[in-house]
Amino acid sequence: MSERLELSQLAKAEARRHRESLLQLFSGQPSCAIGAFCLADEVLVRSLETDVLYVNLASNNHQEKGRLASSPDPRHQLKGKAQLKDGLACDVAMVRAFPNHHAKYWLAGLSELEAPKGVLFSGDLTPSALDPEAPAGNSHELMLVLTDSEAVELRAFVRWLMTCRPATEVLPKRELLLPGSLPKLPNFKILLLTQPNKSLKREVLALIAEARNSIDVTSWAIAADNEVFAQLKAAAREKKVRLMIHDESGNRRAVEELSEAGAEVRTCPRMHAKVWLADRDDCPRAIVSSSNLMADGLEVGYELGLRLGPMDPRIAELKAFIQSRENLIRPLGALNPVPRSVQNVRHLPRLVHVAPRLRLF
Amino acid sequence: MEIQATWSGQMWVVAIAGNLSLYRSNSYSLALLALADSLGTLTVEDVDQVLLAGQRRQIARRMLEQVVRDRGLELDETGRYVLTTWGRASLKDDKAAWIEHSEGAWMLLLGDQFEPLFAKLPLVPVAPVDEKSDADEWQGLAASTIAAGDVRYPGLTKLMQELTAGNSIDGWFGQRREKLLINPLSNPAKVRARQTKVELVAHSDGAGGWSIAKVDFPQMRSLGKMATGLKGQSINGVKAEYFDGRLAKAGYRRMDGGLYQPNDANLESSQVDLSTMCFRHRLTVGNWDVKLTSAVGASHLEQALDWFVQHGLNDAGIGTMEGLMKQASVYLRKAGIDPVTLDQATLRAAFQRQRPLGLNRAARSRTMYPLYFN
Repeated sequence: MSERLELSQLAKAEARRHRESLLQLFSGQPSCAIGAFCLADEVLVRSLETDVLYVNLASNNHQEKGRLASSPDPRHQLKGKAQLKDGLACDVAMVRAFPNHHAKYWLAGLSELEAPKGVLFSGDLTPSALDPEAPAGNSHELMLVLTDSEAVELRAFVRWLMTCRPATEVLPKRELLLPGSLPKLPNFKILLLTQPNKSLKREVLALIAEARNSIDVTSWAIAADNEVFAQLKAAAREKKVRLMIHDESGNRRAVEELSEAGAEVRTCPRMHAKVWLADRDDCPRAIVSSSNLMADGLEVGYELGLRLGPMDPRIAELKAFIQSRENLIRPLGALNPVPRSVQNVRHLPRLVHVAPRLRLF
Repeated sequence: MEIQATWSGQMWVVAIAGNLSLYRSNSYSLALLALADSLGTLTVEDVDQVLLAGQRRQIARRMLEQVVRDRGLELDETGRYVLTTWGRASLKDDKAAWIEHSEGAWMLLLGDQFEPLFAKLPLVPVAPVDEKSDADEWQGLAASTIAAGDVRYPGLTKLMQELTAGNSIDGWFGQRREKLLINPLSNPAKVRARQTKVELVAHSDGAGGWSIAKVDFPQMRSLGKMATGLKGQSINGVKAEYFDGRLAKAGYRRMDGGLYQPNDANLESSQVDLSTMCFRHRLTVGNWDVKLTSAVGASHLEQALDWFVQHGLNDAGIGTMEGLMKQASVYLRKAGIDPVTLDQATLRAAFQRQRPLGLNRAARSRTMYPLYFN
């Protein structure tokens, strides 16, 4: 069996497991909120049995070519606001859209009288993440079940997010722009955010700095446009840096730079989980987040992350997630730099085409 | 309370032969009454000379005879015409008087069988007898017996007493409401009667006023004109309280303010609609098939709030706590509960106890938004 096929089957099995787990965890709950970047799998949301359901998505135009180029799912499957107005918002859920919303979470127990239950899931509400029968295949996603105290903080985050402005209320057959500004942020002790306090970036930088021997990174997208990348590149010269990244041309330049700095790079088609794991063989610590290794994620968007200490039992899940794929993928050799020749002029239109995505993540 | 009642069954129609007079203002009768009042007594010659220039003696006689039949004048022992008490009153009251309409046989529909919901029809429908149809259906009744009082025909007894006393009746005649006088041609009056199938639908708001919505006489086409006249007529009848005993037996207890508290079995039934706070109940009273629709009341705040959460939520877009409290207050008032003690904690507790059933999940999520995010 080829490596690619094995990877694909691994992703498929996990998509099935994730779907079953999410439905099992959240069906039957009185209240539930789901955060994602985009939505294409309406069937899943409809099959979730809750009294009330809040779905928070990104208000960026999903039909934008550059934006869609960065999604694991085919562009035509993603629901724009017009389709949400005629579908989900009519009878399934209250839908609200935020600019640059990229946090991925599932939360039950929205009221104080309910015990909250939370999950950070790297996937969107899409077939690639949650439908094992998706014709285009499945993405590699990570699901982290939150502890009680983490879930309480996730609830505080969702409540805070619901008061964030601007936002767009997606209503049946219409939408309503909610103007305003960001409200005061509650004091989060566990969750890491990009908007508005950039605690996620700070913690990632700290994790890189604290790593003694190795740093493992997985991501969907990577760009050399941010401080974290620069520090990771510097770390690659001194420590073992292993990067597992989705195989896409937009990532190539940053991957080249890291590789040149000494990082061990593996390309994993449809790798969508975002993990930072330091010293995985000795006192491992990790950050799991929704943010790609890009300025959009680490500086701009609504992102969520969680730091796991060495005693956290979920560290083992992260290690297993990474190692199960590592075993199937050979690291790339030092990538040949793109020759700066006139031949590359023919790639220019494609580069221009991809450019908007680089800014968005 | 809204009441729709349908009476169906066989109803008595009576027929009486007589002179029928109509009440009209500015008629020659008035002129004769005024002349009699002026002269004290009146002769045919007086009328002929004063009103007809001495050329129409026969006409003068007929005019006077009509007024006598209408009881405005009477002959004294000297053969002169004098005002009766009724004629004097008629002249004094509204300067109107009776004129002769026609002599014949007249059908009258008696409404005494509509009890117990209402005693009788507001207008007695009157129509000429169509002698060619259903002659065999009519049976003779001894007028003297009726006049003396016959428990089998209480309405007819009363009517004959009225006519014999020379009293007018309010009737529906010739497509309009009329005050009618019927002087029987014979003494005692010859009365015939028959039964005919009637279906009558009446409405009431429970305050005692009833109105007739529809009447059908499927066996007697000649009564069709009566049906037109009856439709829309108002009648005094029983009030909502009349049904309280029966409703209590059926599990609806009357509360202050005219609301009814359903028992648990009724709450589970489709007869109670807690989104509109109404219940429907059907019962039989005599020949009446009665459909009642009335407002449901709650026995206490918690019960009303439970109903509100389950059935009373409206999809009003993205809710606010103030909006939700307002919706709840309106509902509580409809349920007969003063919302003065309602606070957010109480409302939130109700949402913990009950699941909203009426709205789809999207609408429910928007409506309950303030409970989670306010």
